[in-house]
Amino acid sequence: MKRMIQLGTLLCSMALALAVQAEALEGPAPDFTLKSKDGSNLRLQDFRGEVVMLNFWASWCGPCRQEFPLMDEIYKKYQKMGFTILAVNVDEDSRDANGFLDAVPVSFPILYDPESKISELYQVDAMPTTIMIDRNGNKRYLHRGYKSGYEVEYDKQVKQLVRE
Amino acid sequence: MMLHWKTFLSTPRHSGLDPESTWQATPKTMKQGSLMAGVGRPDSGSSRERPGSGGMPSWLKKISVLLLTTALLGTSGCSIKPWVKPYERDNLADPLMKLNRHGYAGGYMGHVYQAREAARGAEGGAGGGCGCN
Amino acid sequence: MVLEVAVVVTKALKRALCLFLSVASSWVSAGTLEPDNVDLMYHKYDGGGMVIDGPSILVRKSVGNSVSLTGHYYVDTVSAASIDVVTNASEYTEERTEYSAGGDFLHDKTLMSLHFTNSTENDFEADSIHFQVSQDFFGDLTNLSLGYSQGWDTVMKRANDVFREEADRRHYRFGLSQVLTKSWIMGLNFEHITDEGFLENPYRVHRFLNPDGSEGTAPEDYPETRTSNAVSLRTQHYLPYRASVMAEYRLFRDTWGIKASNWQLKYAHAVGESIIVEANVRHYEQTKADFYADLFPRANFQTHMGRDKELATYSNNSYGLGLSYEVKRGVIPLVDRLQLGLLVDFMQFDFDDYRDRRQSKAGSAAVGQESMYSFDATVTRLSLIVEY
Repeated sequence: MKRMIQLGTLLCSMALALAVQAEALEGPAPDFTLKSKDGSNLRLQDFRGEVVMLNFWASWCGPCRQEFPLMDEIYKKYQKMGFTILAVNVDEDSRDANGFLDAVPVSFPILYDPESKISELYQVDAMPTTIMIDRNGNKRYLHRGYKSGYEVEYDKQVKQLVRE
Repeated sequence: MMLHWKTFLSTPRHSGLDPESTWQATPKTMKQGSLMAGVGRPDSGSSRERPGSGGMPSWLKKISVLLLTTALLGTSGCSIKPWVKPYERDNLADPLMKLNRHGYAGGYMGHVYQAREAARGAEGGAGGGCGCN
Repeated sequence: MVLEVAVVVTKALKRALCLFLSVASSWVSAGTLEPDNVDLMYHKYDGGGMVIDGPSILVRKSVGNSVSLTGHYYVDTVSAASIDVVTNASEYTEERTEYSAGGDFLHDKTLMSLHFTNSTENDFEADSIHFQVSQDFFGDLTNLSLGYSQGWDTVMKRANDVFREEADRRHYRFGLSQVLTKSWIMGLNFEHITDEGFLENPYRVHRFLNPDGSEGTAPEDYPETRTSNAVSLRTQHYLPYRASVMAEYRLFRDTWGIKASNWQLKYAHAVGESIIVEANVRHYEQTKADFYADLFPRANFQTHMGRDKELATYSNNSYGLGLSYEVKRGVIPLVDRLQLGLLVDFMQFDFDDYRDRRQSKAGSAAVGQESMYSFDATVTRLSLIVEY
């Protein structure tokens, strides 16, 4: 029994990796086309020249619910300066997204990725995930998860990218 | 009716119960027979047939080993990647997959069982859920 | 002068064990804290001549992003006329109050919990501390948790200011859960418990046969230590039409010679967006403690003797139904979510070596020839959880 506990503690300490809140990225953001909430198809390439905040969310994700209204504020603040948010919903059944959006209405575009093709393309490894893409279509920053206070980082990074 | 109480403080401490013996097989010495047939056997606790490791069914042992191995593989930095992605946790995040949906009320039957039964422990569970953050 | 001795049937010491119910009784991912809520419950146990009911109030509030604090108040009001009580004394009523406070601390994928509990009744007091660490890894597919609890019990007796005994308890818990597919999770739990001190009930007696065939009684005498090990395996699977099925098996062994096992099956089904119905079936069986006997062949037969029916050979089956109704965000101002729940469980106990002593007391059976005891109990819980 005692050995079990020792083994457990060892496993614990081995795997206690500190997750980084924001990570700098490099390279072009892979292009994709997804259906949006208003029915039209949106392609990432078409947003070249604008700063894009790519967000992956799901109806069952608690932190996503907290994050959305704050994202909406950032959207309204910087939209005129050439900024947009593309919120990719990963629910297998896209109808689940609607209940969430009724409770948390937002004004930025919502895209649907029910087959997780784009999630795989971007190697999403946390929920939610936010990737900042600059005007040249390059990935710049990655945020894994959402905790209160992250929106301050979002704002700072968008401000910086918008001025480039 | 006034019951005659023993003075418990003067009873010597019994060390006949070996705390480490329960999961290991030990040679059968004095089998603890039926109390009714006994002829004043002095102590019920010191030597008795201990339930050996045969007390744990083999299927339980196999599944335990399998789970531990899977967990170890995952945590040891092996090149196996998590096979359920964070964006595929729809079903696991569903309230139907919560072990306890009713807050304190949900865990309450555990209190009732513990109070009425001799067995205790190994309730509860963690993990699953949305895996967010 | 006849002194009425009230026998505490709900086993004051067993009640202390309730305090050790694992804090994590849900598959909670370490990545997020539980949402702030007020959890109200009314509970009622009715069976075997006993009625125990009372309220429970739990409040949870987070402080910042990483800490969630809880405070809990709980009462058991006991009115007892069970078999132990009626064969030794008279009915009684009693109250047990429990206070608990603690917090959870979340750092990335590690969740640490620390809780303190105090339980008081007029002849028993128990304090305990619980600590747990839970870690998610491997893409949140694996969760490892380790826990330690320590308890200090003080056993007293009504109408006896001198009597005061103590017992200490230590629990060591290990849990591992693994997500196997998008719809399937399994868990393995171990718990090692050591008790030391005054472990018997100061009011209960064991009985023996006098040479003339009449019944004699004397106080119980239990060993002063008890060590137990329990292992449980749990599996839960999601069903595509919005339902889930859970199966669990547990094995228990201790140094008192008790061997116990139980299995449980639970099924939950969603009806529409707001209602979940559930059903469960559980079967439990155990063999008796080495020092237990319904009737010892003579007085002072051996050093340790007990007649607690919970240490007898018996089995119990329980069947339960549950219903929950959810009110989502937006309907009630300031309330994120509201959930109403009703749970009812019906338990049947059948003893193999505990006889119904009321029969020999009433003269309808000879001592040691009474029929085996059995009883039923219904446990009802009504709960209201308000997330704010």
